[in-house]
Amino acid sequence: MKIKSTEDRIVDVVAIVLVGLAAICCLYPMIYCISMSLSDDQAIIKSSVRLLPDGFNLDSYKLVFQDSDVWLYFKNSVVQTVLATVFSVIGNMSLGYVLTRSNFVFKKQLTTFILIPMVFSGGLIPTYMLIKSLGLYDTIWALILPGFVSTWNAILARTFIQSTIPNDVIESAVLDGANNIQIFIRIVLPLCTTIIAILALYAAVGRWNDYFGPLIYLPSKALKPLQLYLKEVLSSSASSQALSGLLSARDYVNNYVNGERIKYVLIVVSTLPIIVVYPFIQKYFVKGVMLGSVKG
Amino acid sequence: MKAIMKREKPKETRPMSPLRKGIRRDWQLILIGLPAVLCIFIFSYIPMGGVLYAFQDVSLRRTFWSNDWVGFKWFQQFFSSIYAGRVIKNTLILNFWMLLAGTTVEILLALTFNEVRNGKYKKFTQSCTYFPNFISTTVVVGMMINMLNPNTGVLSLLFQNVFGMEKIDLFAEPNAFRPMYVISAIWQGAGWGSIIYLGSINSIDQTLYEAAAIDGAGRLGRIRYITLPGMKSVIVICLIMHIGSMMSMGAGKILLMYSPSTYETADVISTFVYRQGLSSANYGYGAAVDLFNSACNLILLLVANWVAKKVSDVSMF
Repeated sequence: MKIKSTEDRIVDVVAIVLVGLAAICCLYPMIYCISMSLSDDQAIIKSSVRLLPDGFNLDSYKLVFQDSDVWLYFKNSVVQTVLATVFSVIGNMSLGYVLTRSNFVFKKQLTTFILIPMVFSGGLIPTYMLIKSLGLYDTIWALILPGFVSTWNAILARTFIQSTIPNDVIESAVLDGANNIQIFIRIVLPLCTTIIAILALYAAVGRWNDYFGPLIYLPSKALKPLQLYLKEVLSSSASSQALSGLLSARDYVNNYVNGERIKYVLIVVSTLPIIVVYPFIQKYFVKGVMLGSVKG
Repeated sequence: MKAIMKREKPKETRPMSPLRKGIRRDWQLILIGLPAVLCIFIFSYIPMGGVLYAFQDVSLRRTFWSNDWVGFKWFQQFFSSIYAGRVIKNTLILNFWMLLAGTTVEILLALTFNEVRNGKYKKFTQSCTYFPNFISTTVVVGMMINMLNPNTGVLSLLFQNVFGMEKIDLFAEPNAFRPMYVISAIWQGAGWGSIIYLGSINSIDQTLYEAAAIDGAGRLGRIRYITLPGMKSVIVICLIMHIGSMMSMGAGKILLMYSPSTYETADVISTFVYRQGLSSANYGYGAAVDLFNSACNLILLLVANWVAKKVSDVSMF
């Protein structure tokens, strides 16, 4: 039997109010952007939107979805994200698996080999020169190949494999005559769908959201992903130029309204894939963080 | 690999060295790991050799081997310029605020979440606070630019009408850069960052709370005397690891936020490297500043790791 003291009740209320406020703060900007993207012309001119859409207007969505360039950027983003995800899962899982094998002949050398890049990196310029001299510049491989392995994620994979698959299982498989490739493909991968999901999501969200890599390595328009286009539209100096393809030069007021609203439309469109899948994938990410904190 | 195996076959009668035996036994493991190792070698180790660009007059028309060597010219140029002090100072100050404000908010948030008794409400609000972590930097900065627009931005209008702020463009104001950067980073990362602290709270022994309750400690008392001490080791580790990365700061977000009028406070080492090295194609100079930064990072990280080992037996390596 518990009687709630005044202190108890105050703490309860304060905690509930505070986390509620935090949640509202975190959601508000996105809701505001969605509302702006849907509001009508008058609302944009008077900046009268506070929370919900003021009026209703889909003109800017139409302009964006009718534009073949935007579809190209969207397609580029999808292609780059899918490739990066597949590569990153293969790379990190394979390295992670090798790291779990305690009697691997090169275990010590391998551990040192992957630790050194964690403390010292060549930096931006040497990497850029390397990408150029490998002939990867202005190809999507400049983004995909360096992301094949990331040490942190490989260690995450190792931690997970170690904690899910008891060593006995692997040893008895060895006794039954299975070789390492069979063990990896038939035993480890099927049992590790959680970590595969985590690695895939890390890679996918990372690649989808990145603009800096494309900014440096993908100068040509044919490879431009959505985030880079968004960057051009949102940075005020280049915005009118970046939007010129979307707007007709006829009507100044209309252009102003649509130019403003299109920014919000693009914010919404480029975040939409994440908003849609977020409720379903969130728990995997949290698992990933907890796993990583167990100790790398 | 197969070729090696074949060559070894006839020698089977003689005793093999442990290394050869190991390679023979583990060749499939080597095969599995090889692509990853190659990738790390190419994209992490070769650029380490590439730091030598810092001592060269780099031109894209020549190769690494035919560039002229210029010794410490770029380092001298950097350290005698007004930029060296400015970008190092900005990097450190920005990191300091990120560390102080960011960690504080994350810990407070974790403590508050822990006091919420309603499971569903807690889960929902947590999901909301994690969400900004998945929004791209481009979108976050885009939202800021729009919402802080002095004429039309909803936040600017709020500040002006409710708090009586002057009508100024915050993005052109050097003094506003650091608060904007740090606050937006907290908005984006605090919920996510609180997970690790919540994890450490969850691993605290529940009997301690019961004992404290019997001893008459109220909710606040239990936070103060049990929860916080229970989080101590995680907090210390996080702080030390943050300090280990005090000199590093990605260029991505700042590039989107700064402009020449705010370089005074916003220009950090990585953005300087990007501007000098890539935008102005001054590769050698950029590489030199890069190398200086990497060296600082290495030293800080080793020191942080050493300190972490001393205080808590937990370290990265």
